[in-house]
Amino acid sequence: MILIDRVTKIYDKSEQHSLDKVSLHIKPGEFVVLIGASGAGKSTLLKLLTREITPTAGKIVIGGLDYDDILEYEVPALRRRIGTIFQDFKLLPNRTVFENISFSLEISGASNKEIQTIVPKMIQTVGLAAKRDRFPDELSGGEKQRVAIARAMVRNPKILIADEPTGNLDIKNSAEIITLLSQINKSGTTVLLVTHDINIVKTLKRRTIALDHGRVVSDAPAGGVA
Amino acid sequence: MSSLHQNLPMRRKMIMRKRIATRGLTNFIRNSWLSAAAVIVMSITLFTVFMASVATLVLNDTVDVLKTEKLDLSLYLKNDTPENIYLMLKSDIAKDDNVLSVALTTSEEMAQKALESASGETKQAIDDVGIDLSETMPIGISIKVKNISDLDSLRGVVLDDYYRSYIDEVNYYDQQFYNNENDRTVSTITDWAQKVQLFGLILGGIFLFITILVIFNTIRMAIFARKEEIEMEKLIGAERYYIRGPFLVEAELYGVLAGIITTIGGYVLVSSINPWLESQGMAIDILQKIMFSLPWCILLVIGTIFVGWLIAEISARLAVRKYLRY
Repeated sequence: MILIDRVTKIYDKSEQHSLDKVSLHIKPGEFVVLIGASGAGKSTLLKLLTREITPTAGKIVIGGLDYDDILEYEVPALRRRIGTIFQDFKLLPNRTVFENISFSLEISGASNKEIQTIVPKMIQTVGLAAKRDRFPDELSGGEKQRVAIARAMVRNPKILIADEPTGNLDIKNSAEIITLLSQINKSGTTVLLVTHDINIVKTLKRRTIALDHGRVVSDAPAGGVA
Repeated sequence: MSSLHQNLPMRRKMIMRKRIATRGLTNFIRNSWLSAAAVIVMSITLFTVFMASVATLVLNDTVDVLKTEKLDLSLYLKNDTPENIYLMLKSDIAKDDNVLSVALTTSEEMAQKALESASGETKQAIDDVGIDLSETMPIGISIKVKNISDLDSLRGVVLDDYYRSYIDEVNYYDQQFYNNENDRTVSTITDWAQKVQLFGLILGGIFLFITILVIFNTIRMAIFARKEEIEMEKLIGAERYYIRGPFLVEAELYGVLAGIITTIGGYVLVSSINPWLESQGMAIDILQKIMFSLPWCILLVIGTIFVGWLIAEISARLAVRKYLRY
């Protein structure tokens, strides 16, 4: 599903390796946790996967798509195939829960009828049926992240990338989000979770890849990290 | 090209276009003060160009009318000019390339006209004195010319030694005709038309520059105000045209609204000054035709709105290209 082959990224100014010949292979339906301290290269790797940046060297293939073949104008279509959630949620403050989630379908050209059918189901799935008309300001951190997850999943992507989704949440909400991600994974979606929270790693007991100074320092199989 | 490339079906394209238009309209309403300022500045620009065009049109039309209708030459021959001479002169004048038509009025006809236009008292006085006007009135030759500014060849015919001694006067451009001067009235109005045109162009150019700056900055501010939203849209896979589109629609609304305001303002102003222009002897036929006949009127309205749209579109595209790249 995700193949990263000897990928190196050097930012022009720093001349330091943000990623240094990183190679990974994530199979379809896997739940992979990516851990590492600040500056380890986690964010760089995610930005490469969402094609916010391009690698200095190496190859990335996702779902059979070789990133070298993707033209600039095709990048939005690539991003629509990958669900992404962020630590700061990135919700539209002047839109309701329903509108934030439907926005993801709106940009794909879905009809209003399709939106009216799909979005309520997704809201139900993430447990926000009672708050569909609330604005982000009226939601807790955990609820905001649920909205973000619903927005990412509403297009039914094969891959979900979660960038520190529990970073701004308390323990209870974190646990709920992780449970939700596990459910999504069970339905067949490949999940790549980036976190620095070792407790999540311990709780999940999934394949865990550790990055340090731009290199993969360990790749422990599911249940391998205690 | 990867397998990602796929054309959206027409139905979905239409849905996307409708959404872009709706979002543009929402932005326009949301930034109502900025929008109002942009529309006002653009309306001033379009109105300046519009009125300069109207003024140039009226002045040029007036010049044309003066040249072809009001500036005909009237040549008067002495009363005792033999018939064969004035007929020959008429014939020679008619041969000139610059002459459209020549009409002859004999001294008898002149006398008749004079009597017809005279008041009762004058007629009585003429009768009392017993003057035969036909013996004193000159013979008139009325000449319509194509170009009043180019009378050299006609002058050559009329001032020929053979005819010169018979000529009483050349009215009412007598002095100019003899002195080989261009017609002052025509040149003055032509001069004014050119000045108005130039003034309009300069003023229009200045306002155009200001308008482009205002719209450019309005769109720039709108982009900065929605920076986070745009960032999110990019990350979840919105197409470039879907992100840029609303800003362009917003600017297009400025242009279209300004075009409509200008057209309405222009019509109101022109309608109200038309009688005054006419009373000042200005020719307003072409202006009337362009502004008040349906096909021309439609063309004018669409043209003005199109110009407004075009200015806004260019300004917004410049802003979007500079501040919304990715």
